[in-house]
Amino acid sequence: MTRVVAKDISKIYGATKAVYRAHLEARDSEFVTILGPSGCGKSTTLRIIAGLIRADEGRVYFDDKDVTDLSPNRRNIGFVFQRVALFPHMNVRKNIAFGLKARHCTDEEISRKTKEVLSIVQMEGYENRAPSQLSGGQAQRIEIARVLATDPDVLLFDEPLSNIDAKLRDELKFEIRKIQRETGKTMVYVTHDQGEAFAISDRIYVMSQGIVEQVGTPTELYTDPSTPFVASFIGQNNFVTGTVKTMDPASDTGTILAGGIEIHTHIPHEHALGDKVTACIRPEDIEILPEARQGSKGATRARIVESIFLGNTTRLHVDANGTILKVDLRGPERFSYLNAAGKDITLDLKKCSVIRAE
Amino acid sequence: MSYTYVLLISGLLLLPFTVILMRSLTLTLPDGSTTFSIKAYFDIIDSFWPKVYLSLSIAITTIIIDTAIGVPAAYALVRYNFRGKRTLFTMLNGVWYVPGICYALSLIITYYFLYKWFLGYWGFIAAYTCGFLLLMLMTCIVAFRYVDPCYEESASCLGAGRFATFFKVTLPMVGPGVSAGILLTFVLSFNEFITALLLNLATRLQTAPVRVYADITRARVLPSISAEAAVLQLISLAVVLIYLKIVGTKYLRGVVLI
Amino acid sequence: MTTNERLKPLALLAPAIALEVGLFFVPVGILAIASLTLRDSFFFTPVWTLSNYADIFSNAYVFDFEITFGLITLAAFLDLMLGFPFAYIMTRRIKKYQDVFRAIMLVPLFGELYIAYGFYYLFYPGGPLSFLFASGVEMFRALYSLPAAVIALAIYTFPFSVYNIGISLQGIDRSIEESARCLGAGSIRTFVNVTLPMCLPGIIGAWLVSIGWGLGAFAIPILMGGAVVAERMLSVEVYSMALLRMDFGMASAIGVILAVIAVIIFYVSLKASRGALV
Repeated sequence: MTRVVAKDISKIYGATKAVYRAHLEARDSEFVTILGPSGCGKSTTLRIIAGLIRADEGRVYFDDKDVTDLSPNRRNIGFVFQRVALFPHMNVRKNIAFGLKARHCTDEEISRKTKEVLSIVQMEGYENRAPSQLSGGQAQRIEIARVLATDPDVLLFDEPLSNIDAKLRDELKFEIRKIQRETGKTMVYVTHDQGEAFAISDRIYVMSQGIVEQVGTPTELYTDPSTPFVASFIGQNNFVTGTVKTMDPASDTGTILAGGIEIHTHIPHEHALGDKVTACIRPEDIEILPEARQGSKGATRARIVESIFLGNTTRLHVDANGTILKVDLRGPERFSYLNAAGKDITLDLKKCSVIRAE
Repeated sequence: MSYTYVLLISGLLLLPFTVILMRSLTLTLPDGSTTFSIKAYFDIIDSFWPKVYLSLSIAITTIIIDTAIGVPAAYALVRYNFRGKRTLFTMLNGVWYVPGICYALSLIITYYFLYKWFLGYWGFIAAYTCGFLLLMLMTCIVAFRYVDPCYEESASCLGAGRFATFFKVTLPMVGPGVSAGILLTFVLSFNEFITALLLNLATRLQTAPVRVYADITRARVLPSISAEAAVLQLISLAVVLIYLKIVGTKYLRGVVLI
Repeated sequence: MTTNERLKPLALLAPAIALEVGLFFVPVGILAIASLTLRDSFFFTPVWTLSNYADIFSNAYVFDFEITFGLITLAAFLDLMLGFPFAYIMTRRIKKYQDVFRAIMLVPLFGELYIAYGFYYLFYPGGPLSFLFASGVEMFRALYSLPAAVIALAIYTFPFSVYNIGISLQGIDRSIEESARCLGAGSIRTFVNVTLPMCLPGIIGAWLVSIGWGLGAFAIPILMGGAVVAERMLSVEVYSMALLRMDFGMASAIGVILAVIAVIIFYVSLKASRGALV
């Protein structure tokens, strides 16, 4: 129910820019994720929002209140760490009561709240267990219960599922999403796992080396990466660099000449004739044209170099006039190309996004 | 075979102790033969107990002061980063590197010359708190390192202020480690000899180890003297064993044990 | 960092710093000053002189240095001989009664005095080992003999030595040894060519640490030394000069020299073993 704004945050350690001029906004009840590889500054940004680190530049606002100078215990947040931070010398009940005691709640309120949050995370009856008696997933659930108990304005989760087994991770991430929806609390979530981010986020901030590369919904990020980093970090991509050969302003399409290939595709306005651009084509977006359409505009001839069967996908490495492309086939079609090395095929490359070349 | 070697060495390490113990338990009868007896221990109760009491009192006071000074200092050294931290730490290390007799002499001279009010009970306390601070510091540093900062951060995010976090989260988790420092400080200050000897000559206060030494130089190897030494060793051993039973060796590793 | 944040750690460290300065640095400073005075003039009207140091560096004290360092170095070697296998076994071989042996390792820490007294009794004429000696006279010689003192010193410094060696051994990456084994080296070759060189700095550090602590040995030389050792061991000389001869100047000078040597030795051992402190 709180809007979070981190305005132009910078944190510099010596010569390293851990975070640089990052701007992040999470609207009321929104689930925002900061996604990026290790060392990209996502945890640092989250910690600045929490107040665990002081930014060198920039301010943090909860709704319209400037909280930059407040220590974490005055911000009314719920922070969940990567490693389980349940106090080992207290049982579950005391752990959950901790935050409530800090707010001087009565014993009755504490009791009631404890029952409430334990049922939200589906861990009723675990009040008297010690943290050492809980499995990884159970402990993380109790952690979530603990932060929910204090009714925070904002939830801040720092890679909470990194140390959990893959199968449990799957379940838990949807549970986290469900809890966020039901309680309506604004969430800023950090992860390096693209699949996880896509599954549960409303919007995603992609960060690399301290800088926000792009922000958008999962769909936007996938279909329209705006920087080379985002294009390569999200999903898989073929990168073909060339120059804009022709442009038709009426239909916003044009051709790109790259090596031996001619690509007919949508070219955004920001590019002009003769610009050096990179076309990002996802392996699963490359279509193999049937004989009937092999003469159409934009058809590219290629020879299959290698064919790898991965189960739900067949990956082809093809040589298109000197450029090597990866092509992913899904569905029944994939069985038709199992031992197809050496075969000649025709490709349709129009489904690509175009970005400025590096 | 490994066990044999370790047992042999252990035997050698325990040899002086066992010898003293055995001597304290023998009684020479008028006819020259010896027999087992704990009479020696009863003989020394009146004369020795006050000394033991003094040593205990000094040790406990030292522990209390060193804990109060050492725990915050260790916390500052582990959780904060500031310029000059390394140099400061090296400075604090200095005490251990100076041989005991040199430090003891320097204290005596300084007491006479400068700190005249320390020529008494508090002189012992002053000397020991400074001398053993490093021990407490080292064990506390190890203890604080064991405690991941995420617990303190967690407490802070849940709404606890600095005091509440320290007393409800940090201290309970760090407690066992601090207790290792208390153990070592007790054992070393209770049995401390060199400084106590010099202070004895200056203040007339005689701690238990100094009493043992005085008796040795006076009367050599009577069972009663051995009993005195044995009592001190047994007290020390008892404290160590109780500690090891309750806490184990976990927090002593990295400081004095491998 | 705001000034407030910079003050917090200093406030927490203030008592410790004050304690150190007042009760360590000041006394040591005064010791150094006293070493430049003649006899006990420091307490009355100081008579400044360098004669104390002149004496120490003169021939008169050569024997004392020889005895002191000779005994201590021998004891340090003994510690290495006995301590290295001990540390190796403790860190690599024994799993079961580790805690028991660790507790036993703590015993010499109780006090040098008890080690000294134990040996004193052991070799005392009429004592338990008297059957080994022909007459009372011989036994006295044994009691106050160098070998006994060396063994006692070695026991006293044993825990420190083992600790250093142990830390060094624990710091060795086992996978390096395992690679050597996979490449075909036998146990002995691996040990000699791989393990030993890697823990050599630690061994040197341990040897130096034994010497450093040995310099502070007091009860052992004073009880066991006999005329030769007791009067010539530098640590005992500090005591006898100050309190028997009232020559505080001289005692302080010896004290300063001992302290400087010890600090240097510990410093070098730190560099050698890269970090182990005690």
